[in-house]
Amino acid sequence: MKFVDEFRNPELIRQAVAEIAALAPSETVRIMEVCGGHTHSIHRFGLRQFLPDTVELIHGPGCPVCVLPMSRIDDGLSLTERPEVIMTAFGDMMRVPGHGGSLLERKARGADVRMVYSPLDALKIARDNPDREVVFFGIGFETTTPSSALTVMRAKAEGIGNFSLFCNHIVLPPALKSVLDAPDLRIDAFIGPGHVSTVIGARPYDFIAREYARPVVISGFEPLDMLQTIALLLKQLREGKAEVVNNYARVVPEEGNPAAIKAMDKVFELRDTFEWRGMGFIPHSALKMRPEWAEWDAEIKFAIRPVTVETHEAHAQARCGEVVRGAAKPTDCPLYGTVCTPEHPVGALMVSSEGACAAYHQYRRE
Amino acid sequence: MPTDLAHYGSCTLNDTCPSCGEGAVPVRVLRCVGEVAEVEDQAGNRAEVALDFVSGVSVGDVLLVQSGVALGRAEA
Repeated sequence: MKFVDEFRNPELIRQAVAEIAALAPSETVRIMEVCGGHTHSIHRFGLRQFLPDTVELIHGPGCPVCVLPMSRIDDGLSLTERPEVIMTAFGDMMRVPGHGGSLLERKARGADVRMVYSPLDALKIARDNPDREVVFFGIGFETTTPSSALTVMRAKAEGIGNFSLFCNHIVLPPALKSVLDAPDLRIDAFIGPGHVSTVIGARPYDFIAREYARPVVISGFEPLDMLQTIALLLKQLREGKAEVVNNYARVVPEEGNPAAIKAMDKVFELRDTFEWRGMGFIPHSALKMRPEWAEWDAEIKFAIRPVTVETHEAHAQARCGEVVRGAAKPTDCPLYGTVCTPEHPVGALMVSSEGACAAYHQYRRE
Repeated sequence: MPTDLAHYGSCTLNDTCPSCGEGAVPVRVLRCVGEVAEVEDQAGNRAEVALDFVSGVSVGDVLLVQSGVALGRAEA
């Protein structure tokens, strides 16, 4: 299939829905969609209405700004107080509140904070401002990490010493292991991430099938992709199988992107541990820059402590932590849609367009 | 008739969650100069993207880009 019409073809959709109905489990199964893009698709296309009552979809920890602990945001905010610093960040990162406000609020108060589309744009700012220190607030999974690696490699190649990376990059598979190990989360199957898998391939999920006996199906984002993926998962569950299946082969190569993996490995290494909002510290779940790249490491350059501890949520009633790991739904939070809205977010999950709370809010059906 | 960009996701260069793991933008290559390509998304927005991680890119290819860097090529 090459055209979007085919992925939204009513007859093909009906076939997939019928297949799901035929595979409807007798007892409730909990399927986690790992990534925010899938959460967005489920709500945007109203896919829940096509699923049996015994199929429950649980959103996963796949939104990087949502899982970043506030204390880490505070560390970034502290850099904006340095007069020599130009802080750069992606647009959604600008609005995420730390204890001391957001980058956008700092900008409104006069700090030099600039939104960029790519860390390569931040490097250009450094090139154009040799008397300033340009910091890029690096965030994201294996989809954004390659661009950070490439930027640092170019900074070195061009001898640009006034650029540094504040590295908050995280890796997905350990977070899934944490979900599987959580005693209060019983997840029966996973909708595997689409574009993260473009980079890392399908093999990093093998442990889920092998060690935890849970099926994983990597999926695209069209309604037909999602429904076919759910049918494939239900079929495996019915047959007692646990395999990793690539249902997004038109984009995801089995081996991922070797050049991007090589660049990430050249610049970064695993941290011993890193804190995830709502999930606590997860071993080997984030990246730091290798010592040979210290000149471009903002943590070293500005003596930022490498691991910080979440102290409290922005609002005592907010249930961001439970929502981010799938233990509660956005609608279970008393702040959802009342004091916490996309216009005035209290928690990070309402900021990013693909945060679970924002997706629920945008497509909610009364 | 060209492959439809939309079935690789709905993100455009102007409307994506850049830090999200699933925010990759499907684009079509208009022009290649060295390791940089000029690309166009499904809404007609254009941008330059780095080709360091995807080799052998040709005009007309569909790429997935994230934060200014091409990460993959869709199957022809």
